[in-house]
Amino acid sequence: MSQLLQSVFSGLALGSLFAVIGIGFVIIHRVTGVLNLAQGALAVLGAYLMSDLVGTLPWVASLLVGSAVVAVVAALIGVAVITARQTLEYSPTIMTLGIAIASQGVFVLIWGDLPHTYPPISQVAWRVAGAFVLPQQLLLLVTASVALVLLQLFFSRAYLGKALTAAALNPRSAQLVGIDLVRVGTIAFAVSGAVAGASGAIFGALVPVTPHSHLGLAVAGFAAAVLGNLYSPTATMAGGLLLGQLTSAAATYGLPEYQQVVALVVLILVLLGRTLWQRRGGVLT
Amino acid sequence: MRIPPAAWYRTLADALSGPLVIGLILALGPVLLPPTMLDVGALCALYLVAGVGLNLLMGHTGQVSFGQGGFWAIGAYAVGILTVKAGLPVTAAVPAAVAVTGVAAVVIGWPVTALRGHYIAVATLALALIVVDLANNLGSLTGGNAGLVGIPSLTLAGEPLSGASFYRLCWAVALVVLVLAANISRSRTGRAMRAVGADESGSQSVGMSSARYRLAAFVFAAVLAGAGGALYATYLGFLSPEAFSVDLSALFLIVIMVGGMSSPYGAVVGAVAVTALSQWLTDLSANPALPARVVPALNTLLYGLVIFLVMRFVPGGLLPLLGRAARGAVAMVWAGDGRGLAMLRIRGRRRPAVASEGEP
Amino acid sequence: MLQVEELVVRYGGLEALHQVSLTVADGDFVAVLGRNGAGKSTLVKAIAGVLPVASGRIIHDGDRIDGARPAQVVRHGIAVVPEGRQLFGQLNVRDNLRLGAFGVTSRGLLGMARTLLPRQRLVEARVERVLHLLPELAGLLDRPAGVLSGGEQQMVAVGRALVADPRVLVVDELSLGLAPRVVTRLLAHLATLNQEGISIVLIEQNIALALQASRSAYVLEGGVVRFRGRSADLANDDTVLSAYLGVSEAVH
Repeated sequence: MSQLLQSVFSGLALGSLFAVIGIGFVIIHRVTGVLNLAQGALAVLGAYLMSDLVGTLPWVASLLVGSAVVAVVAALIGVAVITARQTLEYSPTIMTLGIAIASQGVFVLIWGDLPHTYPPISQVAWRVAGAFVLPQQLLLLVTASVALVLLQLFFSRAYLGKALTAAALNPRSAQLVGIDLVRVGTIAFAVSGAVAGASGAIFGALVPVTPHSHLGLAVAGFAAAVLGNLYSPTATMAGGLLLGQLTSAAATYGLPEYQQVVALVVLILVLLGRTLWQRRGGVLT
Repeated sequence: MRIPPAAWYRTLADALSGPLVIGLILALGPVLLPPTMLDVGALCALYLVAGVGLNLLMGHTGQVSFGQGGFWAIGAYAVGILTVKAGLPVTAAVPAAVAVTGVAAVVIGWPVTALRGHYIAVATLALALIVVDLANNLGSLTGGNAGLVGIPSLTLAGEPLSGASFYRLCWAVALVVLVLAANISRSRTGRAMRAVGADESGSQSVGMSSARYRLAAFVFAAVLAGAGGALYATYLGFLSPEAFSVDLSALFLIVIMVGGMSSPYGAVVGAVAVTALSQWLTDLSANPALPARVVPALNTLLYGLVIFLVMRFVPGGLLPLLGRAARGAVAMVWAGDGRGLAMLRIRGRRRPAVASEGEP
Repeated sequence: MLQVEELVVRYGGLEALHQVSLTVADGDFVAVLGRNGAGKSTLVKAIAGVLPVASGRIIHDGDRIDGARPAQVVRHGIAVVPEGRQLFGQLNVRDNLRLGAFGVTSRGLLGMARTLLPRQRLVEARVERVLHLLPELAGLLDRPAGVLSGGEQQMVAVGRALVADPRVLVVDELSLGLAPRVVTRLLAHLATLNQEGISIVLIEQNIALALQASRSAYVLEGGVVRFRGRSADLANDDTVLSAYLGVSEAVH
C-alpha cells in the first residue's frame, strides 16, 4: 500500500510539470495555432537558470527572476515564429522544433552536459501513511494549480484575456477591432514560457536537470494537451497528472528505464484514439 | 536587351542536379577526392538516400515526419543484431534489415498515417525518441548504452568494401534511388501523392486509396532510411544509441529543407550541404583548444539553427534560390544593368502566420 | 473626409484594384456596388489596413492611413463591419461589443496594463452609448453570439464597430443571407446613425436597397471604378446598371 502511495506522490510532481507544459501548449495553440515544440526546452531553461541564481538570490527571488527571463525568451520565440511567412501548415511547428534542438546545443555550451542540481526548499520529507512526500513536490502541484486558476480567470474575466480568446476564435475580426495579432500571440508565448520556466525551476530541485530531456518533456506535455483536446486547460491539467501517475507507476512497478517510453506510448495511443473516434463520426470541438 | 527566357535555366538547373551529376560524383569521386574524404562522401550518399525518401513523404503527400532518424536506427540496429547476435552473414543481413524496417514501417505507419498535421509531426518525433530509448534499454539485444560492436563490413567477392569501393556502392544506390524517386514523382502515383498532400481537409476526395498512398509514401521513406542506416552500420562497424538522437532526424529534415521540397533532386544539394557542415564541425573538433563537449553541442546548435533559419527565411529551400540567383546573375550580365536583381527577390505572401488566410 | 486616391492593391498575385479613387464626404452615405469579384471586399480590406497597398493613397481627415495597421485605422476613426458578420461566436454579445473598443482603449503602456482588468469605465460607457443607439441589443447581451439569428448577429456586428466611436462606418455586405425585412430595419438604423453625423460606406450586392439608402454611389467592376455619382442618378441609368451590375431594368 505504501508503495502505491509512494508512487502516487512521486507522480504528482512529474504530472504537474507535464500539466504545466501541456497548458502552455494549449494556450499558444489556441491563440496562434502554433505547436510550440520548444515548451520542454523552456522548462529546462527555467531549471538551469534556477541552478545559477539560487546561490546568490533567495529562493523566491531566484524563481521570479528565472521565470521572467524564460518569459522573455519565449516571447522572442513567439515573435520570430508568428511574424514568419507561413508557407506550409506546419512551418511554425518546424521552426519551434529547430529552436528546441538549437537550445539543446546552447544548454551544453553554457552549462555542460553533466546534470545540474540544487537543493529543494526543504530537505525534510513528510511522512504520510507510510510514504514520504517532499514539500517540493507539493509546491509544484500547488504552483500548477494556481497557474491554472489564474489562467482560467484571465481568459474568462480579463479584457485582455477575452481579446486573446477573440484572436483565437476569429483572427480576421480581431484585427478589425484593433487587436494586434502579433502582440497577442507573443503574450501567449510569454505566459506559457513563464509558467513552464517556473515549474521547471521547481522540478529541477527534485530531479537533476539534463540538456537532452526537453523533447521528452515536450512530447509528454503535448500528450497532456491532447487529452485536453488542445483546448481546455483544466482537462490538460487532469491529463498531465494522469500521465504523471502512469509514468510513476511504470517506474515503481518494474520498468524504471521505460519512464519515457510510457509517456510516448500514451501519446500515440491517445492520438490514435482521437482519430478513430473522429472516423466513427464522433465530434471533437 | 531582352532577358533570356527562364526555361533555359530551369532545364539547366534540373540537369545540374540530376542523375548526370550523381553519375559524375560516382565515377570521379575516388579519382578527385583524397582517400580520407571517401568515407565522408559515402556517408553523404546515404544521407541523400534517406533524404529522397523524406522528400517524397513530406514534399508529395505532405506528411511531416520527424522520425526518419528512428527508421535509420532500426535499419542499423537490425544489421547489428543480425550479424553480431544472430550470426547472419552481412550480405544477407543488410537486405534483411531493410525488410525489417519495411515491416516496422507498415506496422507503425498504419496507425500513424491516419493522423494529420501537427499530430503526425509529434507522433513521429515521439517514435524517434522511443527508438533511441529502446536502444538504450534493451541492453541484451542492442548492447545498451555501451553500444554494439563488431559489425562486419560488406564484402564483394571476398574483399571487404571500404574506401573507394564502398563509396561507389553508396553512390550507386543513391543513383538508383534518385532515379526511382524521380520516376515515381513523374508517374501517376506521384501525381496522386501530390493530390493527397494538397488535400488538406483530409476529406479523402482522392478516394479511399488516399490512405494507401500515405502509407506507401511513409513506408517508402522509412525503407530508404533503413537502407541508409543498414549500410551505415556496415561502414562504421559499431553502434551506440547517441548516434541516433534527434540530431539525426534534424539532419534529414535539413537535407530536404535546404534542397527544397518540390523535387527529389533537391535532396542532392541538401545532402552535400549537410555533409559539408558535419565535416567542418568534425575538423573543428580536432582543434585541441576546444573542450570535448563543445563540438557535439555546436553540432546540435547549428542543426537547430539551420532548421529554424531556413524555415523562417527561405522556406522554399535553397535550391530554388540558387536557381534564381544564377538566372539573376546571368540576366544582369546580359542586360548590363541591375534588372537581374529583381529576380532574386523572394516572392510569396508577406503575412504573419496568425492572420487568417483570406479569399479575395 | 475619407479620400481614396488611385489605389492599387494586389491580391493573390493579381491586381485586384486598379487606380481606384473614391471620396466619402463628411456625413455622406455612399454605396459601393459591383458584382462578385469586382474588388469591393478588397477595397474594404485595404481601407481597414488588413491588406497592403501597392500604390496610391488613403487619406482620412488629412492624414494618410494607407499602410497603417488595423488598430491605427480604428483609432483614426474608421470602423469596419466585416462581410459575414464574423463575430466571436463563443463569447457573449456583451463581450463582443466590449471588444470593439479594444483598439481604441488599449493605447500605450497604461492602456495595455488596464486591459488586465475585467471592466473598464471607458469601455462600459461606450457600450452603454451603443445600446442607446441600437436598443434591440439590450435583450441579447448575455447570449453567446454564435447562437443568434443572422439579423441579430448583423446588428451585433454593427454595434461592435460603433463601440469604437467611429466617424466613418464601413459596412461590407450587410444584406448577405438576411431577409429583406431585417435588412430594411438595419438600414433604418444606419440612416439614423448617418443623421447623427457618422459617414457610412455601404458595400452591397443588393442594388435596390443600397441605392435607396445611399446618397452617393460607386460601381466597381474588374477592380476599376465604372461609375461615380448620385445614387438617384444611378438608379435611373439603365446602361450602367445592365453593363456592370447585370440588372435589366431601372431600379426605382
